Amino acid sequence: MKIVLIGQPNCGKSTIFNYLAGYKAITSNFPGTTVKFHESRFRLRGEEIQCIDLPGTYSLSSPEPAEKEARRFLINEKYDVIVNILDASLLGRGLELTLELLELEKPTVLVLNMMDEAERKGIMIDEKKLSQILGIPVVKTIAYKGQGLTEMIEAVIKAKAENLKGNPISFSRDVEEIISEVMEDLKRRDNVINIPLRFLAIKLLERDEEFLKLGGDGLEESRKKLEIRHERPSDLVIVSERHALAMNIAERVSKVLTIPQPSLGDRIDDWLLHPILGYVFLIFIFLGVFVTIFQLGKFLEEPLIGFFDSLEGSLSQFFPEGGLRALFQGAYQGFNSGIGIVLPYLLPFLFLLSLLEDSGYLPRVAFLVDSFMHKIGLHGKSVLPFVLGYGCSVPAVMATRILESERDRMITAILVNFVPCSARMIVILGLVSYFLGPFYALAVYFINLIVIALSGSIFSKFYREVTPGLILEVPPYRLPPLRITFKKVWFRLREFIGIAWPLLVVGSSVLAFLQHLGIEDLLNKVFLFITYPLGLPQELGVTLLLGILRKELTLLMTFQALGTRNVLEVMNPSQIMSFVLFVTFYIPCLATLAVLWKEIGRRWTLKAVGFSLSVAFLMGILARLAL
Amino acid sequence: MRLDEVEPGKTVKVLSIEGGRGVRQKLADLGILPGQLIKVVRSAPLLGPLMVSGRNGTFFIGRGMAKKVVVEEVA
Repeated sequence: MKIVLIGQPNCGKSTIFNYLAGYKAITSNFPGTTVKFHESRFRLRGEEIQCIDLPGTYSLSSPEPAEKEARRFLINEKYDVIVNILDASLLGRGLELTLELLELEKPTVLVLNMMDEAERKGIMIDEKKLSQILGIPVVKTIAYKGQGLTEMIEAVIKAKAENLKGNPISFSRDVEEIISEVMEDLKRRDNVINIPLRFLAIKLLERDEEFLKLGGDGLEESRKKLEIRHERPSDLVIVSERHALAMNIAERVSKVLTIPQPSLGDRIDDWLLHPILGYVFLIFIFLGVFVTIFQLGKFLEEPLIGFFDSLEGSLSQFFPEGGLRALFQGAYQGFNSGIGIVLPYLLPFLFLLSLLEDSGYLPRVAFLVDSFMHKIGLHGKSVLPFVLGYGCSVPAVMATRILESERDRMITAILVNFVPCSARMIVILGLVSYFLGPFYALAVYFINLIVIALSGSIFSKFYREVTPGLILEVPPYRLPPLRITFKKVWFRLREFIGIAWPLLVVGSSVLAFLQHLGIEDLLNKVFLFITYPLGLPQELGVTLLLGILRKELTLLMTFQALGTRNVLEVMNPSQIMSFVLFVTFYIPCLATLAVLWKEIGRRWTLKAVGFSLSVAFLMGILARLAL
Repeated sequence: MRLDEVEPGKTVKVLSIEGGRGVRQKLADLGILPGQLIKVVRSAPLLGPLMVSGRNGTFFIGRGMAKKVVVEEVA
């Protein structure tokens, strides 16, 4: 059985998906976390279930790319049951999508999620009555606690077995008349597409471009009739009808028991979104995150590295002098720097990032910085991919899909690569902060922000266009359950353990072996075109090559290449800064390049690479001259 | 009056929306439709976005977008 999870943004689709499938999709407390499909197979009650988690979509006519993709899937793919999830505390709005989904004439189950939040707002919902009106099973759930999900699956099985497609809900009589008129017209045509007729008729009346492309011209008369009678564009007529219907149903099935009081969230907003204090909090929160990562990382790093270093000598003795011992030492250093250098910084970072994402604070940052972002030709919503970029550039590039305009997407996707991801954070903290002090590391981050802002202005000079502007839903503040935070941290950590760490071990031993044979000199010569103008020791050349595979490699290979952990013995502060700035900006790593290629195409990817290389050179040379 | 001219704290009724189908759809998704009541909760400094709340939830909306929404004050 194949089921599809669909619902409006931030209603908990991925939470339900993860509960069913094991933690496989990142969840956060802001709209648009899922921008591509997640798919999973599992067995439940002896039934093999294939489950697809679609990006959140407000309606089946939304203009955003991620939402369009969800719609395309619903229309073109084969599946058995639609599982429509909605945030019970926003019942009326959620039902607007439900009404559209019913037009698809597929077995459907409606899930009222976040019942606890609805109850806190004093909203009581009579799900039996709702089920009667819509003609489909309705279940109540609290997804993050797993409550109601068994009932949900039972309802899904029932919906499929009994083919519960729901009752079509009628609009006002005059609108219905025109819809039937269009349906009659469509029936007379031969080029019948495999789309439910009523759904198609409504979409054509809404002037939906994608369906207009399929044909359906000559309906101008019907649209005109609608527009004249209602004195507004035909798409607004339909949307308003649906809105009124949904609100009406919501009112019939729910009661609000308490008068809503200003909630705790509103009071928090008074502080965090305050015209002056809001910015003070913003700076303190981000500085706090930085200081915590740095202090905790350093606290853990020193004893761990000390421990591993003390063991190295005695372990090496098991290997005969020569190539084998060089190989072992390389592998050993790659292995222990994973635990000793990367994890101490990565773990606290991933933990804090999860907290930030789930708290609901990030969309508020978009509100605070929107006017600054306009200065660099973007708008506040781009902040979400940027902040994700501090974790990893790959999801950050994908998150640009939440932006409506193609131009904004391209520019944001290119700039997002400049944001130092957690791997580059390791390089910045491990080299700059460790050897020159935390203030220099902060300076790197600060310079980085300025470069991003300047690059943004340059790009927007070249690609002028009025951006459609910010429009973003404000999620409530939430304290995520620790269990989910840990799962999310583990989900992201697995990426390091499964891919980067083995690469560290292999890369490190290969480099040690090359050094042993004296071949790495040759490679370093190739990279003189970088190391020479920046005034860097030429041994660093090969680390830049490895850094393209994974940025963490740069730091660890630097130790390996220089033959010491105490970098200050061979490099002066100016060289360290120049090197780190270069590494921060130069070519995106392989994984990021791949996703860029997919998201923005070859031409723009090449532009991004060329641009980042030039910026990297410029910054490296500036650092050399300034320090 | 346009939505971007509304003082924070005031509730207004939406009269019409100027702009293409994309803008209309985007706003309709969040319940900004002719006839609906919405409240401007606060606005960000330096001509930043507005925070608006209505029956369909709370959201941020940029000035440029807000300019396209024609509203009237309700007593």
